[in-house]
Amino acid sequence: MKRIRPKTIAIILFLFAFSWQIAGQTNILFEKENFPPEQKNALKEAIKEIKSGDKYFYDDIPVYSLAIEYYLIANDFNPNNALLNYKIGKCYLKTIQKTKSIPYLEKALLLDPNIRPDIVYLLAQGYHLNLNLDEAIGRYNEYKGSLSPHELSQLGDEIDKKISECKVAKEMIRNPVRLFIDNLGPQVNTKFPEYGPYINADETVLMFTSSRDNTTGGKTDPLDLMYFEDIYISRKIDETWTKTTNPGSPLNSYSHDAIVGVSPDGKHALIYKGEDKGGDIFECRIKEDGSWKLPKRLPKEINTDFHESSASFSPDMKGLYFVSDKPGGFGGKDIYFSELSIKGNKDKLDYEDAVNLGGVINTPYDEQGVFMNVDGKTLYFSSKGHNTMGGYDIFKSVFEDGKWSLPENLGYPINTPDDDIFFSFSRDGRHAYYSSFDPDGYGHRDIYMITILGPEKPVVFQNDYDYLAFLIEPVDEVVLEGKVEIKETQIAIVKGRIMDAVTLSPLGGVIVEIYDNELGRLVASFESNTRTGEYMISLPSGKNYGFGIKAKEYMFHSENLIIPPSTIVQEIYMDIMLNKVEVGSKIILKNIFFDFDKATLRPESAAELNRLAKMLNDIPTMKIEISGHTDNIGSDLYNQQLSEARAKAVVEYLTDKGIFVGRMTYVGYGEAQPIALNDSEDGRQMNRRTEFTVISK
Amino acid sequence: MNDERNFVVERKTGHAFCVLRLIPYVAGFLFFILFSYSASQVFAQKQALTGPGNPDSMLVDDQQAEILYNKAIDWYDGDHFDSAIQAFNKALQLKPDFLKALYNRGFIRYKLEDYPGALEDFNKAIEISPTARAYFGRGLTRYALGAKEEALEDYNSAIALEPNNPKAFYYRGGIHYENGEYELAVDDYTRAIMLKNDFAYVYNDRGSAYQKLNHPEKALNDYYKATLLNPALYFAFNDLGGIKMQLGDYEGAVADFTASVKVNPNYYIAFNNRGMARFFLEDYEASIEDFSKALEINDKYLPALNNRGNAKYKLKNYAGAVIDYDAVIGQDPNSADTFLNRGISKEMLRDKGGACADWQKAADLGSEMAKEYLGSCKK
Repeated sequence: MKRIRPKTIAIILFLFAFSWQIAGQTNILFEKENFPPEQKNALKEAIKEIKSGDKYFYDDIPVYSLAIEYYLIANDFNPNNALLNYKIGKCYLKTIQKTKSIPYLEKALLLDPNIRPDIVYLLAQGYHLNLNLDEAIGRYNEYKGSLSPHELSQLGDEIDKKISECKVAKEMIRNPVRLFIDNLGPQVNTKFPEYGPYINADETVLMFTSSRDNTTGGKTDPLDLMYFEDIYISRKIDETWTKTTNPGSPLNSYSHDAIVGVSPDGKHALIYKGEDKGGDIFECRIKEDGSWKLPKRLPKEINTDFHESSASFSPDMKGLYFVSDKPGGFGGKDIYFSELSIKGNKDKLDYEDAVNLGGVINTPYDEQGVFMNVDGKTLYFSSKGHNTMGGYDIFKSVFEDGKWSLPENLGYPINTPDDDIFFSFSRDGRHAYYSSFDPDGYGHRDIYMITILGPEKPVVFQNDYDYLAFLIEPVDEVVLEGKVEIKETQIAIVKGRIMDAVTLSPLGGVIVEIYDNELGRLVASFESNTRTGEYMISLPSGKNYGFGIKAKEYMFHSENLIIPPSTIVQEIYMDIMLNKVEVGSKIILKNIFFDFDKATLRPESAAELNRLAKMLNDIPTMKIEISGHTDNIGSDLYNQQLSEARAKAVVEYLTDKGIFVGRMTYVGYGEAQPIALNDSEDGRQMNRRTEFTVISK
Repeated sequence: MNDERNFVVERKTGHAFCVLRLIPYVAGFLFFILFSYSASQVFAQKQALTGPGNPDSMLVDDQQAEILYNKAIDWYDGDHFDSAIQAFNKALQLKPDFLKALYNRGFIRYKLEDYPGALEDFNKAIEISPTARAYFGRGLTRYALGAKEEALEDYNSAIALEPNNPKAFYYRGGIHYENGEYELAVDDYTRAIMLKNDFAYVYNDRGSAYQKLNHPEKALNDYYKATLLNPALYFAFNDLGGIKMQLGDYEGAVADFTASVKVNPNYYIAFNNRGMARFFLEDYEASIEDFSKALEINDKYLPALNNRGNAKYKLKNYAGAVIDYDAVIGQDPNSADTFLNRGISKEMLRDKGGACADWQKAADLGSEMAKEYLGSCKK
């Protein structure tokens, strides 16, 4: 016999190991051919574990949580068995750790897509629960497509509902409810499961159900090997929950005792006992000393031969909302209300016949976990119908104007695709109490408080727009007037002597005032030379000037001097003869101007007239005659009337200046008294004049 | 990069550049002294010839005033505004009723923000001759002095004297706008546009008036027209973006705000607004960048600080948001909005007491929303 060399053995072992590696992607049955001989015992043990798990898995009342423990041991030995992975996945799907099912179901499907007809459906549910909603919809549709017509008629509606739930879930997740979730802490929660919390109105008394090792009687339920449920109580003092207590008998019994409702004052408890008659509701009251009275089964109006479970007092304690699956409802479990009548004996409770809350609340699917808020009109309940995301979701409906409002899904993450049930709410609806499993909790299910923040509070922005343009970027509105043309106007030198008109002796110190007749303003005022009576003034040419000469005891004298524009310096000689103030003395008012062919005084006449008025004021006894004269153009009559009207206008001006009218006469001489020939414009100009004559002094 | 390069160049040439820059001023000053001396010499000779009070001096005054007037315009054209003012001063000393000098000095004083001086000139001009130009100038000045009603009267007078002046309608429209009389503002702006149909400013401002009248579509059209007529109007792009944001067109708004800051990279207001638009597009990181940019340009612009807090809030950086809100409140303790926002972030930080205190403060400052939120503070 040929010896096998060690090297060859090593190669064979390597190839054997490699074959296992290859076989990793295929379904490996728990058969001895598939395992090396040295694993024979381990294989036996694994098969034994599977059989143990199967006892729970295939039982009439399966206990999946126990089955899992065995299956996982077998799976450690052979993780590539499609059926085992399927079973583990299905078990997880039935426990609180539902999403753990996904990898096992995926693997089972990979190893053998035909391992069980519902594998795709279970995987779809796993995705659904894990919020892999698009994958879930895909798998639900895939499963639906694989069904025979007969199966489709049986399951089609259910699958369509699941797909619809996924779509609702997607929408809910897009608009999550804002909330805080707080574990109630170690005073309330333990490594054992706590669930079904009920809070009284002012959130100071919490009653809940738990399966703990200090359960009354200390026994476990043979069905699931969990401790029998008891009711526990915690009270909140100074915002802190105190250590929970088990109130013991008679609130709790040796069997399952579950709290399903608490009165607003925390002194009445509603208990569910499921040992007979399909499950009934009991009421228990607290005594003065804090102990509890014996629970009383609620009467036949509430409890029937069917299953009554959740219940909630109306806040006035005059009615009870409860859940029953008795026939005659809308399907499955429905919510009913029974009004409580107190007749005679105060201890005797008489309920009216229960009334189904109707089709707005109840659906063909199950309703559960009813909770009436302390406001007496806001009902919270769980339902598998309406627009649920999957399983039970919590809804709110308000009873107003004699009818229930359309139930409103409280939204994600209060609701999930899993069963969301048995919540209780604070008076203002801001707090909700519920149980959930969280790997970071105290173990198994814990009780949590949700603080509902409501819709997101919008933050307020501060911004700026719709400005006015000129406030942001002011326009330079400065557009200057342009330059002016500077005309080189020359000066005219006006000079002469002022003398006595009779003696021709020079008059010194005579006041000469010169007015710009166009502007009506005084442009110069000076005196003649005291010794020679001479004067000299330089004036801009191109203007119309009025000269006013005043000397004591002499008649006022005026001259009009129009200096034509010129580019050269002009010299103008103008001697001025003054007449003494005597009767008969006559002065031509040379700076009085009228509108053409009218008796209307022009504004530039004002300076001359004012000088005349001053003289009349200075010599208050003097009387004068104002006379008007014209040239010979026009008829005699017309000229006379015009000259008179003009003389009259002068008198009226002086009268307006305060000169007594009796001191003045006026007369129009027309063309009768010319002082120059009318054969030239200069001559006619001289003849068109206004004079005054001293009549008396 | 350009700024950096310019900075280097300026450092190298800085000293010489400073000296060179002084030359026109020095030359201007010397010229003015020489000119003033020359003019005063001529004036003195004339005075000596003719004696005081002689009308010849008036002639000299008028001519001299005109020479000074023309020179003042040269000063102005050379941006030597103070010298221009001095020349106009002398011209008006010599010829107090020199209307054109009064106009011009008034407008330069207005430009130099010497509003009392400008008002004095326009008052005098109106006293001499009540022209549309004088009323318009006084309207501008009175507005600058905060006397809006008096300015309105002046614009009314200017329009009465010169009904074809689009600017008088434009500025009167502005006062109507500020008085909340948006219909009247739209009327005036429309008249201004009828008189000058390429008046981009008016389109912008009529858009703002339409916005106030809750006609966002009309506002959008006007703002758009303003940007078409003058693509350099960065604020019109900002206004256009604002309307688009209001209409929910956040992407369009981002494009307009971007156009605005492209024209004027220091327009922090548009950065702030773009941050908001990006916020509504849920691009919170980008919105924070914009708000930060606005603050980089103007660290006193509190809206950007408040808004950056909002973006941090959306990113669940509640503590960071509170830091920004704190900074706003530190500078503006009456910002109801910011108190409200800080309360919201504090709520998310589980600081209910702090949140409620902030909402109470916001409510005291008039925030209706805060009053609503206080309801959740009641136990």
